[in-house]
Amino acid sequence: MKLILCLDEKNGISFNNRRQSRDCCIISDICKMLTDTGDGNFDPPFLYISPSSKVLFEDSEIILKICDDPVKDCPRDGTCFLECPVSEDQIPLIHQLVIYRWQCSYPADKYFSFPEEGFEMAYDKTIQGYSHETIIKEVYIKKEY
Amino acid sequence: MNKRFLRLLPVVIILLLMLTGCKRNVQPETFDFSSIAATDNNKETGEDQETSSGNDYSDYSSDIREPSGLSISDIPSYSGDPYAVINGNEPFFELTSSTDAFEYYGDLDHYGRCTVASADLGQELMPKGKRGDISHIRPTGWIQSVYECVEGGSLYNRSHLIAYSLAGENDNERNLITGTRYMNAVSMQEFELMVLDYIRETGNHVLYRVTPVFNHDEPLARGVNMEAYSVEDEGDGIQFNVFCYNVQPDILLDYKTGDSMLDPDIKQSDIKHYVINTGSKKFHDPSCPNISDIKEGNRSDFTCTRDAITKQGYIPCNGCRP
Repeated sequence: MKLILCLDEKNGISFNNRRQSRDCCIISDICKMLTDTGDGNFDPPFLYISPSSKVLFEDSEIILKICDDPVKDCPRDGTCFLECPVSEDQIPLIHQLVIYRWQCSYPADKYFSFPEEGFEMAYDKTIQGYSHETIIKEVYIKKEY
Repeated sequence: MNKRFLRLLPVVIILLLMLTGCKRNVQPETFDFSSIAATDNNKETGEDQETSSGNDYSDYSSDIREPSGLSISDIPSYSGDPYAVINGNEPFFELTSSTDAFEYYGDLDHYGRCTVASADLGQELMPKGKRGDISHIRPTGWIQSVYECVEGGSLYNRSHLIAYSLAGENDNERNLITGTRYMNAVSMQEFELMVLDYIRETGNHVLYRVTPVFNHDEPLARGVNMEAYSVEDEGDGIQFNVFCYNVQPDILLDYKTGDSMLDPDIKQSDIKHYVINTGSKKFHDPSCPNISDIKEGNRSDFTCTRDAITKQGYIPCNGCRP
């Protein structure tokens, strides 16, 4: 499963059960990433999300699979966008991590415990945001995958 | 006596007229802020001032223009976190569905201290230009000191209750308090950024109130109570009620005066020299080879405890692991 998260500098993910921030350029990038698989496969892209994330993708062309536990329901080769911490027992389900990194700190009471072992950065790149000057996209691949 | 009084009467009348005129002149805020309202529709300061056209508060409960009422006894003791959640993150003010942007700055109290700043924030209130000079404002408790353990050196900032980026209020003395660099640039700014991003992305409005909290007659605030609630989505996007502590790591503050000193309880062996990169927000040991990659203008030197530097938002370099 490919897991997509937005994190701040301290791996903060949310505060008071609300997202720390949002940027429509990230949504565009996710849509582009899902549709442009590079293998000539143009099947309708699916994205597994929780009900609270629906508001972010309302104007996008991708097909949303809305479920209470998107990590659990997402197939092995699927893509999941999450705005809450991942439970430890679900980490083994992830083979690719895509992190959109805010270039600042926000209030946080929930954090993503980054799996230090087992993942290595494939690449990172700077993308221009709409309400953020820049956002860093970090892509990590599971080592044995 | 009567003749003497009659001779003096015109003089008395002239003096009275002059005094009346002087009284008008000592209330420049009325004039100043009505002129600012030419660019921002719904600015108002002071509850007893006339409401200019366009300021329609009929949709708002008046309580958002009152201080939150949070007292020192309601606030958890500072335990190292930059802020504490208050009332389960539910604002104290009455929630409304109005999207008529306004901003309000309460009168200074009889000690000359700020009382409250509140707003229904929206894109229409955001500034279009850069912030101007505010160095002529001297809020209560302003005894500036410079320390090597403070980012930028200066202990205090003139802290906007409602950030300039949110409402474009520049040098309003009713919106500026003496705040530590830590409170201003770490704890308050995190909440301000969250609100700012939300408004920019959604175009929605946020009910917002910042109340400085003082202990009795102290001139230096113990902190600020920040409350916010997003209007159009009924709090789904933004909702918080927090108290940001007016503290600075490694420094002791005298809230009765504003004076300060290095914390004498800190061991000298715990104080070290670090190099920080203000761009990447990383800190390094002075011998770290990555220091040579720091862009000119992004390098700064700190002499402080490791705890103080991490509390100011810096993360250790993965290379030298300071």
